[in-house]
Amino acid sequence: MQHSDIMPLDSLANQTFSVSQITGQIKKSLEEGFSSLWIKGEISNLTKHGSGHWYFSLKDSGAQLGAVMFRRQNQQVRFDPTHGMEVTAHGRISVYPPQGRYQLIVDQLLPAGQGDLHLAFEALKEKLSGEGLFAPDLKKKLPQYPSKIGIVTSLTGAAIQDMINILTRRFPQTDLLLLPVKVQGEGAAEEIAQAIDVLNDRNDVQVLIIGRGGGSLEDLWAFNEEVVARAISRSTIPIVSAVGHETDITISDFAADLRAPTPSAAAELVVPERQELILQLQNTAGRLQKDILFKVQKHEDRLKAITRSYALRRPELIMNELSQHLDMLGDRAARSTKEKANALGTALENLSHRVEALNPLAILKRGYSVVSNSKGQVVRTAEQVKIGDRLNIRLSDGELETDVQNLKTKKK
Amino acid sequence: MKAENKSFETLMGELEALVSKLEGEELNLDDAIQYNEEALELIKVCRERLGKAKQKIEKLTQNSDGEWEAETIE
Repeated sequence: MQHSDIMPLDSLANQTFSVSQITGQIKKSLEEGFSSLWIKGEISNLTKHGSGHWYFSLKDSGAQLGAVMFRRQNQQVRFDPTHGMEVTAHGRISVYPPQGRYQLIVDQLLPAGQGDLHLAFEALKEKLSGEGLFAPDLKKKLPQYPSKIGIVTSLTGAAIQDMINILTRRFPQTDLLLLPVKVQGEGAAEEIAQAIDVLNDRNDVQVLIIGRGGGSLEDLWAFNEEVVARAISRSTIPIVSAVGHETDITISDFAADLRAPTPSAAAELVVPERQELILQLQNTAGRLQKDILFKVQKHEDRLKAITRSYALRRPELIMNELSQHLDMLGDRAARSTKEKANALGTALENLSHRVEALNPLAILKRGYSVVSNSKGQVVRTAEQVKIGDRLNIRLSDGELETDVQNLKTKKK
Repeated sequence: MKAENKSFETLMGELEALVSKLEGEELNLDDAIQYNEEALELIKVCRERLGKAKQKIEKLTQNSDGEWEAETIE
């Protein structure tokens, strides 16, 4: 039988199982029924094994529960648990089949006082989460280039100085509005919440950083209070929560639009790096110039092609069209890109000369004329003409009608 | 609105819109040159802004009447 098939209890009654089979069933049902829980108790029989794992019992006056905390998890524990200590442990129940023992696999261990805070934290988190306060679609987008940033924190301590230094170095185009508050102790949460409201009543900041430097769970507690979470949630200004160190997670972090691991990290998140931005703008400018030259070049090539195919038939039209393009290309491309404009100007001049040369009217201006007969056919040789024919002579500024009186053919 | 009166964020937004127009659409040369000029002008203005550093740091505190007042610090 597979462990994964849990039988309904009533179907177990009339069957015989092997010990392994029933232990598998029990393991499965315990593990599914107690997959995540907080348990308060006193530590006893603590053994820190050479493998790095911790084995102990949690007990109270009426019962005890075997527990194991593996090395990976117990490395995160920030106090030294000892025999007799009151603790709060988080974990899941599992069964160790070879000994037929059930035990708590601990993944978080806290001293009892902290454990209470932790339970309060979990309860508030669950409550607010249930209300949808942390919903991803409520998260507001941070402005990329805020002109003013509001900072809600204590003015004493390194955190504020770090943030100012980073913001000034990265992007001095952003103004800062500091709102000093108590960040720990009695009344801190209320001050933080009020500060968020006050900044929301103003119309000048585009993003808020709320936070403080590192401290104990108790020190950071104001940021786990409901009033703060509510103020964050009703803020129309996007808020970055930056409380303590990387490993400290607060209710503020969940309620905020963005969590920064530290106050310094928050300062880096809310503004771009000026030098980087300048480089980026330079690159964009370079790319735009290259692109437009390419486009002009393509257009020029097309013009050449058009000129070749139409010039003989429609010289005047082409001239007009071309002079328009000349104006446009010469003038406007020149303004974007001087260097290319010179080359382009020369190319276009050549082009216009070529078209000019193809224009019969231009040729007439130079003193040549076009002779046609009464049928309108252009006369190219004397052999096409007899004495007495009426011919039309086209000059640059008019036409002549003449009769042929004399005719001499060149000897070939 | 003139470029000087626009926020940096607005200018960068306009620039991004122009660049994506220039790179994304099949434009006639007329429009392409027009947008290109505008984009290069915006880049110039943005870079000028980035050259100027005039950060103001203020502190907001409540006076005796309970009103919030900003005072410049440092």
